[in-house]
Amino acid sequence: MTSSASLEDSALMAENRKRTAELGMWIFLASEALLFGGLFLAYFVYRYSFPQAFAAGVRENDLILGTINTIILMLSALFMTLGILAAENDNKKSSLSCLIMTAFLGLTFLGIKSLEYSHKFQHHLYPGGVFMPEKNWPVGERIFFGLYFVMTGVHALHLLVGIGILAWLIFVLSHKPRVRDSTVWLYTFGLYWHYIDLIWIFLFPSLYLLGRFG
Amino acid sequence: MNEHPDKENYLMAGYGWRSWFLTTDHKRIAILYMLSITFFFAIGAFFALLIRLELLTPAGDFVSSATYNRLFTMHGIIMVWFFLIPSIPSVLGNFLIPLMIGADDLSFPRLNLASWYIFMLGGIFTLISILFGGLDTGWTFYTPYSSSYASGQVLNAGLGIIISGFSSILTGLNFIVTIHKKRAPGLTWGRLPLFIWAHYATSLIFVLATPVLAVTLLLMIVERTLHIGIFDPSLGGDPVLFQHLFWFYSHPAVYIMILPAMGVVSEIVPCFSRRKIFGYKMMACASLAIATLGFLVWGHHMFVSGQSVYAGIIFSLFSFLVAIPSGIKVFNWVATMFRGTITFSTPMIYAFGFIGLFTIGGLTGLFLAALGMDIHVQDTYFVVAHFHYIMVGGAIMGYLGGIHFWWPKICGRLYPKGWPGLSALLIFIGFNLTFFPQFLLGYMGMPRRYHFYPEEFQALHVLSSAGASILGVGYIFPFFYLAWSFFRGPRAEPNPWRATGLEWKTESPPPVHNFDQTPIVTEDPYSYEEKP
Amino acid sequence: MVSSPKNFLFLFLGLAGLTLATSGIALINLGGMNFPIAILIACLQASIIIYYYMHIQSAEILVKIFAVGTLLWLSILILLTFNDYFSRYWTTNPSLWP
Repeated sequence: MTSSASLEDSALMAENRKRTAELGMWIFLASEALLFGGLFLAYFVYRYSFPQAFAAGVRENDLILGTINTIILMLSALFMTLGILAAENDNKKSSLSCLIMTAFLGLTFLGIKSLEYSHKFQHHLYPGGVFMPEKNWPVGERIFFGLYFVMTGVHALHLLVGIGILAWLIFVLSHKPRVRDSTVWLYTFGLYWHYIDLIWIFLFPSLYLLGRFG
Repeated sequence: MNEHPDKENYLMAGYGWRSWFLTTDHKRIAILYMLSITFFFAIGAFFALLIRLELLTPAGDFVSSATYNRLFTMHGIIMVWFFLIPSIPSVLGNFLIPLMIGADDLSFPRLNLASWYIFMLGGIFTLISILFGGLDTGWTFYTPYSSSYASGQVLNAGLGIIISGFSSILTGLNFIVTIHKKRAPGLTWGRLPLFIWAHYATSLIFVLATPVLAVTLLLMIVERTLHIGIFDPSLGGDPVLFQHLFWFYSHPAVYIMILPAMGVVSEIVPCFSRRKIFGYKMMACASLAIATLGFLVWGHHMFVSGQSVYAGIIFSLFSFLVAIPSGIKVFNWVATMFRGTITFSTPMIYAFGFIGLFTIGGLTGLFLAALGMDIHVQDTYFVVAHFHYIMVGGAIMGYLGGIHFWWPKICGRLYPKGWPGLSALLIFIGFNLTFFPQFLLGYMGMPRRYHFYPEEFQALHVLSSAGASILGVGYIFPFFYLAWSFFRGPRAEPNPWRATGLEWKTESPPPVHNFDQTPIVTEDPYSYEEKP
Repeated sequence: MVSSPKNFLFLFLGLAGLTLATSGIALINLGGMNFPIAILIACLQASIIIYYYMHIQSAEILVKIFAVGTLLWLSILILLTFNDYFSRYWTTNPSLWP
């Protein structure tokens, strides 16, 4: 393939690369939407079938920890965006510190999630093994907690993978002289990171809010 | 353009493990896929052989019931996910899409290689599941059997399928972005070959349907290991929900298996009729329509499952509608041939076979779409015959036709005369002998997945097994003559069929970067009538 | 459009505020209104993320088509499945007809 080295051409090629990566990432996110969509479908079907059991399950979830976690994720999205802006301005130090903050906040989210999980294990509210031996829980509550673990688990897995990729990006970028050339990578990854936030925005009301009053 | 045997083409650009297993050249990746799926086909065919051997006699005497259940399960899983779904897209699609649009490679070449590795990882999990005794849930993994009661390698097989699903998603993503972004100058959407349109539609299905399969099998595995109750009726779960989720993917999956084959036929028929395709726009729209409508019909697999009959009515209606674009395609292929100059080359024989057998398979699908009729034939051999007519009579014939059509382009050599025609004939005869009796068996009440049956069904089963042996022989011949051709066949020129299409304007085999100079497209596709 | 750090800070504060609001509202019994309000706030937050953080308005038209298509396909999955669940007991229990 021939390519001339004019400035205009290279700008065009950079724009083309960005558009290609952007399209690719959005298509990937479309597939992710259907992935979580299957889980939400199961959730809605059983909420429809067992409204009281699901309400009881929601009440068991810690609202304060959930709210804090939601805000943490949104803060991480803010830092991700700031990191990208700084990179576009070729401010390497600022960009990397924002990205590190983003990863740190992601880890904090996971930390709080593990705290919630351990609370549940203590109360035997986990699927498999001895499940809720003490009380007579309504039918469907077991399904609620099963779905709770699967949905937040799949979400957490996506977050973990995101943190891993972010760590790798931070490592690679810290060894590059100029951050400005890598904005396409950051921008494309940023779409994925915001998407994780997006999924949580719908997970949060489903698992922590809806039906607190039955 | 004369081809120079010593000029560097993609096959000769680099030897050794690394140049093949770390390649990002879409052509080499296509070859890797071709070898992998041929391997899986052999395994799936072996299971089919054992099945047909058992069914020769009415008594269940060759294998036990438990073993028979494992045989048809493994046959289905391997053939669907490790042969049919990747066959045309990952082999011919990977090889041809960049060539047909005048690009040097796909948009994400390294992702393409990753797709192959992910596919092989999924295959390894599934092979492990076979080595450790397999599973007996049927390829459909229906709950609560698979999630609560089945013993066997459900976990490994499920994981293998989930992993191979990610390979499909990434391939589909790659194709969509490539077709949008890397078309040569002048190649507008209205000038794209129908093979590209078919793969675009298929890629949409890959991206939108496959994730639902992944999450469904995940839920089944979680249910199996942690008993959360989503598919267990005693804990409030609904097994039919599994079926909704499973078929939401698996029905569009059958369109993944047939749309690319239709794309292949749309390339072969105009070439060997020396006429442009009849109704190009309708053919392109029909591919998209099949992909779209295919998402609305999944409940027709569940008419007798306990699903609401009102939902059944809606699904039945959509199932009738989705037959329309398929019918349009068949009509247009035949209309293309009208007053054409037909050459009975091997690809054309396969194309004819496809059109006839797909029509039969498709029409019998309409019987199944009718609620009342379906109650009679659901879960019988009628269904088995229907989908084998489409999958084997349609998709595999499309695949073989495509392999033969583009063989000169892929390896720069011609296949021998005589043997391919004989193979195609054996495949056609063997296929019909195997599967036509199964329509009759099913209609008369022979259930599927049973290995013993009443005496009066034996004659038809014997015919079917005899046909299967002929079919098997027909499939074996290409292994030999294509391998011979690869190493010792006569050299091919760039365009031995005098076909239109950008892929024929470069050498056979193509150079690593496909085109020495980016081609510029100025004419409509299938311009055969200007060059008789 | 929005490309200054200050604007993104305000967006974050807005999102956080909406989160606190939706959590607070969940603690008040509004009967049947709890569900739609929570969903509405979630959709509002999602729109903010998609428009501003994910820059969909500056993306090419193809991306917008894919985003809309995704929503459409999700609704096919959910609505057509619920088609079964809503109508399952209509034959045995005609009082369930809408």
